[in-house]
Amino acid sequence: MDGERLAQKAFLLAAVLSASVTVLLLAFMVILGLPLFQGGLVFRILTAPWLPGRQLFGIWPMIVGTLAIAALALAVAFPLSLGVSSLIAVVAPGRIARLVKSAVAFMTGIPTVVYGFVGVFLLVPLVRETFARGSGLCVLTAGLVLGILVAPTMILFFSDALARVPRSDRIAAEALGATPAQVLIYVLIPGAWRGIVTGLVLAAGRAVGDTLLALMLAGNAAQVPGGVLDSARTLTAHIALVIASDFDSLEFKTLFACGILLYAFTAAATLAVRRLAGKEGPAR
Amino acid sequence: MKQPPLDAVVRLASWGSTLLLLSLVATVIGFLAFKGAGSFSLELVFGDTPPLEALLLRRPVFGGLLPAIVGTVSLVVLAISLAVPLGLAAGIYMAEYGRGRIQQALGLFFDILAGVPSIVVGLFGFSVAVFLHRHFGGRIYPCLLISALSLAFLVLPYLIRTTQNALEALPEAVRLTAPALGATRLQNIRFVLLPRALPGILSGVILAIGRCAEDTAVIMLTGVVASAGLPRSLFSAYEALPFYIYYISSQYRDPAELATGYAAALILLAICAMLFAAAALIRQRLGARSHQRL
Amino acid sequence: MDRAAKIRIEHLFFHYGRRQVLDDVCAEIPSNAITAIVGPSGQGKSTLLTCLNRLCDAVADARVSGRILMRFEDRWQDILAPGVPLHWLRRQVGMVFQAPNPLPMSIFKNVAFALKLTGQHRRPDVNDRVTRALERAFLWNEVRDRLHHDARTLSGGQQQRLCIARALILEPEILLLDEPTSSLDSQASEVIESLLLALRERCTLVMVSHYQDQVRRVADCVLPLSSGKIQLLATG
Repeated sequence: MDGERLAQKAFLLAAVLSASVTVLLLAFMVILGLPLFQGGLVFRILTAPWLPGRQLFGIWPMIVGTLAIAALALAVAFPLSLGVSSLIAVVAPGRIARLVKSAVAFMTGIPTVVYGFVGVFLLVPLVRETFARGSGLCVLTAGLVLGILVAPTMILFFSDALARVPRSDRIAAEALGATPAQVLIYVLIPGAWRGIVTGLVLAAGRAVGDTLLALMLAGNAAQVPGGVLDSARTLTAHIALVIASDFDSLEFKTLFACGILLYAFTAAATLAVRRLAGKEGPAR
Repeated sequence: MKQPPLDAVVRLASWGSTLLLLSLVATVIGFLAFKGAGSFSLELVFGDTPPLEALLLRRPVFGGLLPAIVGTVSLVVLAISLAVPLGLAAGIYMAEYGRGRIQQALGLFFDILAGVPSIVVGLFGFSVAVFLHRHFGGRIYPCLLISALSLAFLVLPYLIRTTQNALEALPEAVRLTAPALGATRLQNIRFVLLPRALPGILSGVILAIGRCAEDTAVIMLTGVVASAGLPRSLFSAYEALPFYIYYISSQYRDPAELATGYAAALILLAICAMLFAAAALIRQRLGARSHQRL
Repeated sequence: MDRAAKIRIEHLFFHYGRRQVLDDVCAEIPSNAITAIVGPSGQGKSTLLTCLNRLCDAVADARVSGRILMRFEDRWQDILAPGVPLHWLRRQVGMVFQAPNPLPMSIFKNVAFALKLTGQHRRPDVNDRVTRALERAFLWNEVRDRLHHDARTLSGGQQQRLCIARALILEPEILLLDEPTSSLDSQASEVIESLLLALRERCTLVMVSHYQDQVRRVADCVLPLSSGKIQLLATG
């Protein structure tokens, strides 16, 4: 009996240890970034520009850059994902749908750095030559590739949500003469909206949290981008770029502000997703 | 058959987006294959060092991909062996022991951790390294061990959830057989539940390996460098494939070096594809088997 | 039989994968009458019914051969012929299922759903037709004050009559019913039965039923189906 109790304690300990990592991550950043929270400095950092020459270490440009690139990625990925998941749910017959679904699942396994590498040598020159402006490293390039990166996550969520709409609803509509498109628009999408929003929120979390594509493709200029062809820097890329500076400098301390922001955003996304999932009523 | 206009639009849009997405992926893979396939050779992996001597560690390897490949493999092995015991144990707790509020709270923490961007985990790893460096005598710098630990944190929530799901998916009949014969809870977990859930857990572990192998953001903050040779110890800097690819994309000096970048990207893609296929295969066989026994 | 035929089934075969479900079914179904398909369970009754609005097409691996002729405006049309638009067919041939299947929306929207599908949005017309459909389905008095409540708050019998109203709104000439009372208690079943008798005036009804006494009470004509074959030719 003692062994039983010991094992249970050990399993509990493992779970608590694992959960404490979540807290530890945040606590570490808050403690190390503590000087930022004294005397309203944090507000200046959140709103000021990044001009190290003038001792201005604001991360506002990076906040805008992150939102711009993530928004563009979602704007690209959302219609694409809705289209592909509609194909899987209603338009294509069984075997094609299964094939497309496994191809999409495979896409989730493609390393981010591979997308980035191909982006640098294929899309960047293309953007540079098409728009004949700048280096081709810009919000547009990063947003497009990031869109392709997050699309599979969205598609898998969307098509699962569409497939979970009760079959009886679908048949009821078909028996009334609904065409496949009408079944999709009037029955499946309204019935799956929770899952669709969940997929969108998760994809937003991934888009904001991605480091590599922005770092490789957006040009990393620490300025507020004026348009999609301007270079921009994301919060994540900022962390990667400033990590080499002196650990005790104010410059370095701003990284914890970036880290806490990113943590807060993704945690909020997780909470939203859990709420959406929790409200889903019992299956009929 | 004449189609109503709405249906034509929906068909066109869904086929259009599917073909667009698939052709984009095909372009990515085709471009790499086209550019990278030409540069495969022994020299690519071993540089100027004779392969046998490199493998026997008689002579250091510079210029080839071997240090990056060995670096990635050691990183993955280390990170997974740190994460799997903890993740498995925590997953078992969640599925078999956890009840009510505590289980829900723990689940919330794991979900939040799963969403945290890897660069934030990297920042944490880096700060821990600096912290240790200052308080424990300056021996610790960002290194293989710190990277592996950070990566372990990154995949931990994923391992916990797959273990939990694999265990919870077992049918009630399987769950009750051993206790009916007088087995204790721990015996039931060890001799019945874990073996039955193993394929599900295993496919989760394989996908976690893929994440460790491809992640770049964590390691670039915690000890990976562009040139270090083969990793010498847990406390040394090291090379890794994804970082090498990233580095080449911006710092390549000549076409030959760029060609190794393409080849490295192709190798990494192949590794991840094989891991993905292995996980899918295990899952498929698992599906087939559970059908048979229904 | 003095009633004119509405549906003629000629040499209908249905395979589901390798399994033969219908084996050379030939039958005539009279207009403005209730025809009951009866027989042991699992022998193709529901399949025969779903062939009549080609809902069977949705089943994977299904193969149908033969002819099903239906008379619309005094012209016979083979609904199994290639090129028949399914949505057109299903607007002529309504269907009610074994378990009531209201869509997750309000009572009003459920009944008006088919109008939305056919692009009829004019509010006064829609209101009017919803009211009439609910009246024809004996439901209007029970729901007139709560048209905008969720349809799933209705009782089982009310839900089934809602589904009938929903099927009636396009004024189909044929109405298929797959054991429409099997999930209801006897009181609710009685209401449905009298409703079916009333609908006969304007509709051809084909229903699958398990209950001998129900068939005796309402059916004008019986098609006994077993092992995928019609046992004897129906006589009115």
